[in-house]
Amino acid sequence: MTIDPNEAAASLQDIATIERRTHEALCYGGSSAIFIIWGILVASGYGLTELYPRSARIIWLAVTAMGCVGTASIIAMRRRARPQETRDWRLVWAMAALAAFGAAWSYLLGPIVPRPLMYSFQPTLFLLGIILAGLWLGRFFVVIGLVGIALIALGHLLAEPWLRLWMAAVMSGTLIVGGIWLGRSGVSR
Amino acid sequence: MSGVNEVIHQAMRLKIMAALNAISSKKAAIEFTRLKALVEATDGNLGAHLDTLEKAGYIVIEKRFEERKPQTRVRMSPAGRRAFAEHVAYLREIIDSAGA
Repeated sequence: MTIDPNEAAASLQDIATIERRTHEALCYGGSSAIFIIWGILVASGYGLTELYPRSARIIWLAVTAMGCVGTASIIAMRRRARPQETRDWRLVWAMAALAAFGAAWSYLLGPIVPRPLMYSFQPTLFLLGIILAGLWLGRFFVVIGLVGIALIALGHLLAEPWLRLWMAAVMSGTLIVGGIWLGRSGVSR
Repeated sequence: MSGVNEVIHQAMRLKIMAALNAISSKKAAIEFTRLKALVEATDGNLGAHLDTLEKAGYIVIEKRFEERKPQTRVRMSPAGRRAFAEHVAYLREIIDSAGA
């Protein structure tokens, strides 16, 4: 059996396609737990803010800190399990920069901008980060981000207090359902 | 230049080996249904090609029960990893020698 250069090139192309698809699936499987953790934390954040509105800033700070610690722990555990793998930390730093940007502008704009707009600013910025990450990591992230943003935009047809409830359901629901979907579509090792 | 590996070169088996190779950890295994989705194969087709690869010693098939459900997991053997690397190198050599 002999292989001509065209057939060899086609075989290498097939290998590259499957490798890309497998890395995407691994990324989906690996991100599933992170999405679900953030979904549960965001739901708790909205619930606690409703009960203790005066402590909203502290509550969201705690939620963000716990989410970051949880995310870093999952990444560190996977890294310990597979030390031979290299991870591109630029994406993690890009997400951190986006979160810091959102927090700073929320602090500055909070007293000026109408409250319903502020409800959607941080969540849409967070989902934009997921869309951007999806350009490198896989199309399912883009879908989750777009669906979340569309649902948040739809929520602006609702009046208070339904808007807050909608935001809580959409943000936590998008992350938890998205996380389960990623887990089912992905591969875990 | 080493010869063509006919076991690996078949289109579906090449995809299976590429997917297993991309799961870089040595002990990591992939579930049958996930592998089926990755390589876009049917149950019967994938099963037949996995048998061929197992007989060649390139993969290890593990059958076990998880929550009372039978689960088949597949992983690449060290021999499979070596054979796949050699086959990819062979394909690259063909292209390089054609371009020279």
